[in-house]
Amino acid sequence: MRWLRLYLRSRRVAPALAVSTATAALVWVLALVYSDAGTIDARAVSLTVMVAVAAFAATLGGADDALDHTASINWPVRRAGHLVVTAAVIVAPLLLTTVTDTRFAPLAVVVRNTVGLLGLTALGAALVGAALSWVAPLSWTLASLLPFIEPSTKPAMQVAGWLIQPAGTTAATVCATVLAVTGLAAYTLRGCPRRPAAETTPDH
Amino acid sequence: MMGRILRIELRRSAAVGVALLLLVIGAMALLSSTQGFAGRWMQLAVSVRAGLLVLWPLALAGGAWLGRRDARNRVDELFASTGRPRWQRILPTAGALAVAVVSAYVLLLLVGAGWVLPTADYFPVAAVAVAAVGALSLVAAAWVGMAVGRAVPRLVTAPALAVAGVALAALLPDWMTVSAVVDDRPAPAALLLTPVYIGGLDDFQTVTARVNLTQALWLAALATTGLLLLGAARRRGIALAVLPAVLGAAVAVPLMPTGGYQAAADDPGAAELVCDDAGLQVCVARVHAALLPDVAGPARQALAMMAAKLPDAPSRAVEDRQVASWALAGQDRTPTPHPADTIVFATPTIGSDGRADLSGDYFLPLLLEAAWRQDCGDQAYDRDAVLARTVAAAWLTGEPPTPEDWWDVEERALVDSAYRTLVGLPQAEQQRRMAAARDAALSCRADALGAIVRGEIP
Repeated sequence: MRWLRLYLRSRRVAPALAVSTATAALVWVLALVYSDAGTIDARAVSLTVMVAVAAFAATLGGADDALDHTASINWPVRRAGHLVVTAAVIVAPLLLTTVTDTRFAPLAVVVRNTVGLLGLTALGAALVGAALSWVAPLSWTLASLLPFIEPSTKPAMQVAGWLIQPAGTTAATVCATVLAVTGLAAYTLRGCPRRPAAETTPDH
Repeated sequence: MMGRILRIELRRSAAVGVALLLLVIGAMALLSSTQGFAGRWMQLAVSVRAGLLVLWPLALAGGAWLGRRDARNRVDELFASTGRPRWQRILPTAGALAVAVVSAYVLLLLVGAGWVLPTADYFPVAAVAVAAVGALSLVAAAWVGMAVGRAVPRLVTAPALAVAGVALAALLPDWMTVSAVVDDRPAPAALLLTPVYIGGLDDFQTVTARVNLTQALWLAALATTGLLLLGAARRRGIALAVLPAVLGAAVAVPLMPTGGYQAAADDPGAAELVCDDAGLQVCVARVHAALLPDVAGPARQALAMMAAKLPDAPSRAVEDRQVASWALAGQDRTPTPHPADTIVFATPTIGSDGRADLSGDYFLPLLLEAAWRQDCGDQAYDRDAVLARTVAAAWLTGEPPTPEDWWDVEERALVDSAYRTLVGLPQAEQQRRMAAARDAALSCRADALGAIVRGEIP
């Protein structure tokens, strides 16, 4: 228990949790007040999930990268666990809204977008470090907002706009799965790249 | 001294990374729909402005990332304790980011120009102004982002700011535009505060100098606020820094026209006629001059087919230069009838190379039907009149009409019987009826035109 508490604190999980929950709550309240539709659309779902994922991106790395590679602790298992639990924590508040009249739905889209974006972030963390891992998910999510990106039957468009395809679009699901699996594997096996421990504040 | 630091910042800071990100994402967005702007400078400028939907929030995020640098490296206190004025350290960094984002924007325009330059014949100066306002908006975004990044040096600041930017600069104005159209009222003038171009611009429209100037004023004020906030060290500095943006908005909003981006103006230069006189005259608008070689052939063919069968056949084909109704929300359109010796044809599809895309054989029937078409303003849809034009065009070609996929069984039967009745008549009677139908069409009597289909004798 003590290890877990120290780990959560060293990864600054509390602010990330606060940001992700607050974002979901804010979008939900805005939709409740200003929208007549019962379902929050795929673009808003993507933006909400993206902010949550970016908030948790900071928790993927610690203050000292070298410490996270010491062999006396089984880091790969912990890193994998961290990602899986993070995905669950991001989906949980969105899932909670399904009992209300204004909901993040359908569930398949919420889960697909969360695991896909989280995988992309983990992949970024493994390649360029946690501090810059939000750039790819942010860019892809914003690009999905372009007016000509829409639900389509063309596989190229389904991949480019995978975030806003309806549930059950094969190419979009495959794209999200590939991102999730690659990210999970890369981050689990490799972790963040080792930078020299300088006198910098940890990324928060 | 300042120049040297600027060069170092450009080489070593995140500015170049931000610029590359803008360039790659912007180019992908732009090049995925080249047919939207091929051959037209104004449409290129507007397309890049529409791309600001993504680029503007990314510039905000990039600025926030750079603004957070001092806090991340724990040098805030160190720099605060040096005896140099703060702006001396701020300017090179802010300048480097501004240079980077503007370069990315200009490169983006140059990439797009590759699809415009080969075929464009008309260069409206307003396109430069539209593009310049976009560049200014990116500088404003970058500097405001830096100020926010400095004030809240968190990792999540950059992405959260980007999302807030999208919401404020694109989603909210878009929603307001749509709800204004739904309620049939002009959208508020304040919509023009966003640099993201919402909706589209017709090829025969332009953005007025008034809009460009007020937007430039507001965005310059916003950029100034960002820069001053970045340099502010005390409360009073912060209060003074907010002043330009508030003043800018207060001055600009009353000067902006209502209707948001629907408040575009007609561009007489774009609508000027360019004609091909080698044979019967065929004209297109100057903005579509590149289409003329492709259009002239089918247009003359259509005129020849009309001359062969129709008494008093038209001898001239001109492109329709009316601004499309979607670009004129809520505005009344006055019809401009054309004389009987002219057919007015709709602009053919423009391909991604800026030339006319005539694949699908849709264009010749369109030209033939144009003989029975007149600009009558916003008349109610008359099914019989639409079908009558199909029958008339088929009569000119001498082939039975090819069924359209939107016809139902009844419409198909109507067209078939109308065509068979018509070709069963003596030649002189056929010509008399079609000429009468043409008179009806040219004088906006839709039901008299529809008589062809209903089997009544006009």
